[in-house]
Amino acid sequence: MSTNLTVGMGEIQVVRGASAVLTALGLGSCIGVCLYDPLTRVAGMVHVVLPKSQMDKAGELPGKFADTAIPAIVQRMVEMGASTSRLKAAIAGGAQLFQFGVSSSLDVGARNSEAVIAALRELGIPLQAKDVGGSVGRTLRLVSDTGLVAVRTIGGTERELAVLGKILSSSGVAA
Amino acid sequence: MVAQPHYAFSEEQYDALREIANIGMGKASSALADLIGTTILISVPQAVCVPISNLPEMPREPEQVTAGIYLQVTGDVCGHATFIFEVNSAHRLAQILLGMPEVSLDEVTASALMEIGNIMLSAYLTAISDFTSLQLLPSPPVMAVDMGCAILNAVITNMQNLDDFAVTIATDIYDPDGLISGTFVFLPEPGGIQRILESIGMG
Repeated sequence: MSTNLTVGMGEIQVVRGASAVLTALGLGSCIGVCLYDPLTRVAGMVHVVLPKSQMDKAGELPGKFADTAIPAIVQRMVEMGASTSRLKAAIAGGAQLFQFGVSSSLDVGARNSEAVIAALRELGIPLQAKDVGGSVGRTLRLVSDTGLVAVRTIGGTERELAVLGKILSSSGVAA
Repeated sequence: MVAQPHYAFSEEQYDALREIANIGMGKASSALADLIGTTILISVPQAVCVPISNLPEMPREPEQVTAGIYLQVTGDVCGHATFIFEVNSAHRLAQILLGMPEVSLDEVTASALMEIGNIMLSAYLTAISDFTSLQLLPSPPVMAVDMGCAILNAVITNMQNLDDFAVTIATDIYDPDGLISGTFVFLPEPGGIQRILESIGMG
């Protein structure tokens, strides 16, 4: 029996040792970020909505913005026993569903992808897989037991994007 | 865990928003009924303030394939209006409108559907405009075919002032034979709701 946890816009979900499936439904321009520590099996997902937090609006959901979401989820995972150096990431989303036919500044999806990737890089977390951009919505799942990351789009079956931590590199076992 | 919104409306104010939505939907549904020559019914509008984390789950079947027509509203009231209908309904609407037994969701169909959405959304906004004496100006419509939750997600992220909460005004439309069903969602920017309420003396 596994628990299903939905990760809504701006939400952070972190589990440890539970047999859980974390799901972000219908990511449009939002990005679903999966983080996984294969050793302790601490699994986390955050549903990032916008690239950058507005400084004058403190106290809002930190998961909403790429620049605050990544440090916030990593901190939650570390508190549950994960090690930042072991974390592996996979991301999906950042699409542009509506084609406005105007300037690319409206492409929040692309800006979200860039901001999330930059925030991961800042913490030295390897991005093992990504499925971003285009014009389709995506549903993203992370299975906490195995680190399996799967993506579903319309007109397609769910496909495996990555198994986080499966590719063991030398940095993957560093304490 | 989540803080309460810093703007909170009373039950009377939500009632007023529902009534305004009802007026708008009356016009929108009769515009559709005229176009396709069938009776169109509307549900009792809902006006609720929900945490944005719950928004993509709003469609009854979030991952169902839908067609979404979306336009931005500017003027005295800024906001986002979208008409989401299930893909089978989209097909039927296109069949009726184009007079063809079989249609695929190609460019011609898409532009026909977009026009239906545009007519309905514009009728909705005009009715609200007339009632409140506020200007609600629609942008040209855009359309996407995707999961209902993804379409709502894409609309929400276009909000200028994306709070942790959003007021959504939603109404379902359907026909008596159950062939066509869809949902109208109006997401006013936070200041927009205040404007609407003030215009009718309920600010």
